[in-house]
Amino acid sequence: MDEINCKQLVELVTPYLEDSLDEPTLDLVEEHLVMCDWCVDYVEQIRATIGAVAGLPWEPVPERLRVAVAAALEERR
Amino acid sequence: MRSYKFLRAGAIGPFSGFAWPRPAGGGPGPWVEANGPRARCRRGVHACRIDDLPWWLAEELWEVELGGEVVAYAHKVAAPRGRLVRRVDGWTAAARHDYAYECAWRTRDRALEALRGRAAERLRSCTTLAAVESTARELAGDEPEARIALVMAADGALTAVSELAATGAYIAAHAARHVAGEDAMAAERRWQATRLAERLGLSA
Repeated sequence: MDEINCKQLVELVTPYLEDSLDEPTLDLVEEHLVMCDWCVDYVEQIRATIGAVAGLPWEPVPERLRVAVAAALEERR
Repeated sequence: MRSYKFLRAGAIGPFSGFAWPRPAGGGPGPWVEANGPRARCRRGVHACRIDDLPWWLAEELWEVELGGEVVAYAHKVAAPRGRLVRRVDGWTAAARHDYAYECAWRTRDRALEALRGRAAERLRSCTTLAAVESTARELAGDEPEARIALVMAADGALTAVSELAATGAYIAAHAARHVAGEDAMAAERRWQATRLAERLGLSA
């Protein structure tokens, strides 16, 4: 792969923001961001969302929600 | 080896957000260690060879000195430390504008390679990029075999008018690949790099 498109960037945005991409993939992401303002906006939105969520207080997960999420994940397997 | 680095206005790293210390008193700026407290990039200080420049266009261009082992990647080099030596004064808003326009006209010329007859004449006769954009979009509906090249010409014109030099260079490279193949794309990127080096007086 010598470059990525916008759709592929969306798949890579989480490891990009976590700084866990290998160097060649990081290059592909940053080369794309240099020339794609849409994806720059997208990355900034995700970064802002992570920042906003990180500032929320911890709340215990209601048992009903925990069971529903576990069931949904099980169904996807 | 002389290296270069594109930064955002104010000598800010475009991805790291790191504010590079600028040269003062006639000498280079202080060294920045990639793993030190002053930089955020643990992977190394990144810089460009001349051939890498078209991939990373931004508001400011700086000559940088790299220290330690320099590792080469496809479109950049990286080293454990680096410092700004001087700003390339020729890379101004006007230079970015001219460069974006040159790339857009080259993208128009690629579309011409895919056209014949009256359609080619219409696109060739455009004297402004605004005319290129509107004409190429109009022709794209009537010329199915050249549609993609025409859309690229229109988009290239639009990005130049919008002062998006990096996007314009990217479109020109892809227009070359679409119309004439991988070698043409590589040649287009080489032209873009050489053009920058010549205009700005850069050397390797």
